[in-house]
Amino acid sequence: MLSLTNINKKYGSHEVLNFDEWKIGQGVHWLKGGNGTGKSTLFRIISGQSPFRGEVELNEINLKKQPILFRSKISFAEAEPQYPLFIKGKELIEFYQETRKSEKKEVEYLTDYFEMTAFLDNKIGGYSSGMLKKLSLICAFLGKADLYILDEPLITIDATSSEKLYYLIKTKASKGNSFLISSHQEINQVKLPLNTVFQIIDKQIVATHAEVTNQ
Amino acid sequence: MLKLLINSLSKEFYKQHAGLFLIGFYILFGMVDSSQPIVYQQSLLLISLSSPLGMVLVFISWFLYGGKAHFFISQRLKLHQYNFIKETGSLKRNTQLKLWLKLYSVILLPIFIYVILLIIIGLKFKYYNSVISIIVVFLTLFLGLAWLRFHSITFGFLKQESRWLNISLKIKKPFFSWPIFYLFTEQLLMLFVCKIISAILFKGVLWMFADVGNDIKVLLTALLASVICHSILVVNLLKFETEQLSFCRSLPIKTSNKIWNWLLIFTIILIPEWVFFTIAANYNLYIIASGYSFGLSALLFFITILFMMKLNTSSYLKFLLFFFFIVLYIILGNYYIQLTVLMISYSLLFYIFWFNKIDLREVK
Repeated sequence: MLSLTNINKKYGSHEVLNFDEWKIGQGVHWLKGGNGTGKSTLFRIISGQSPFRGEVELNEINLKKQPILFRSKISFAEAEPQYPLFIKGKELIEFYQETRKSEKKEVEYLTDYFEMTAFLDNKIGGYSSGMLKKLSLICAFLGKADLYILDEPLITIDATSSEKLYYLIKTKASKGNSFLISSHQEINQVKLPLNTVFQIIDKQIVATHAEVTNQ
Repeated sequence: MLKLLINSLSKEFYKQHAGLFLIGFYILFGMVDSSQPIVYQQSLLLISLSSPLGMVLVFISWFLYGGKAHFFISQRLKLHQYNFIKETGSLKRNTQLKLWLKLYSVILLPIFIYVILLIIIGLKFKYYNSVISIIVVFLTLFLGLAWLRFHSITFGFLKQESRWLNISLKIKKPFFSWPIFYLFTEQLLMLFVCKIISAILFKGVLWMFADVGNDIKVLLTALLASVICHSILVVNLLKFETEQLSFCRSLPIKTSNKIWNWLLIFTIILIPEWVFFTIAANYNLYIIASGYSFGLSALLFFITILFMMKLNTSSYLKFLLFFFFIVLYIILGNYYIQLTVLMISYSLLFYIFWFNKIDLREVK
């Protein structure tokens, strides 16, 4: 499904990632590890935000050769989302809805699901960090993506929202969508069965726990 | 602490306003015969000193500059990366005031030099009332700015929510318009000052060459001065895109849409200049089309170059200097259409081939 080959990523002279090949199939994959290991960099590469050396392909669609088509197949929620503070939550969602060709009922379902409907007419500048995170998750789940890339989705959201997020991921995964999730917190594998667990060690991605709970 | 404030605030202030300083420098020194700069400067100072209206205009320009500096620092203090400055709120009042006075003495340096010159000339030509008013107004501005900053740092937490936000326009904001709303909500004073200076320069150039009439070269030179004034807005727009719209880079948005968005934004931003230009061109369609395409392509070229320079404002300033003088000669040489095509083509090529290869968040 997703394959990365001959990846090299540097910030100035500091090399963050350097590996020959990494492939994942359909399923839910957890990339764990502490701060500064390169998780967010890897996600920003796969989501087409950050330039890199090498090739990234999703279902044989090459990111460098077909960037628009590639981006239409993935959905990315950043660890620390940043949006213009003067726009309303509703305006951001409308933009995502249009860009990702999502239906209105999906918007209504997701905003209700994450209990954000009441705040959509407020400016983003007035949101708490948890609300901002939930807004970014709503935006990420809009439309049809083959691969959802969620960078630290559990930080700043409350326990109820975490439960809801687990359930949503599990439901989407059962319908054939794939997830690549990073988290330095432990993921509750009873609530969210994982197909593989990876870790970035010395610029390489290493499988630490394959087929953990393939239920 | 002062060194840190100078490095983080005043240097940034000068870098960001490089375009305005460049134009100001050109007006003061570049528009006169090279053999008469001192006589010209002395005449300007005497005109200001000899009439109350001249003095009022000088004071207004100082307050505009001071207000610009004040709001620039206020904007910076809202950003997370400048949170460390709020630590100065734990210092004693006098220490804080001294700190801000020193910082503003650096930021107000261009005015300070002008004050010294005005006082010397004023005393020499016995304009004592003007000299006294200069000292009083400058000290009021200087001390007032330091006091305001001390007050906002120390008592900022007591500030009531601005009603401005509540009465702001309740209209739907489509995606393309977000940078424009950013200018109106978070860079209003900068936009206002930019427009005032742009209008003054546009009219000033036309006035200087009034004997030539509505020659396209004169009109394009006036537009060039106005466009250069917008160089600082371009810096802020690109920073806004880098910091608050970076999420768009992972969305399936076509490159052509990005370019159209910029052109649409610049078309809206330059509306006052379009009006001036259209009237000055006597509604001549060829001149209007040439002017509009030149103005838009120049701003698109600015943002492209700034992107390529990875938001390095020092390099951007050097580019602006180079651009201003080279383009002036190109306009005078009647090659403005070729220049417009070149700037547009270069920007298009950049967005098609190189845009995805640069991530400005990595070089902040």
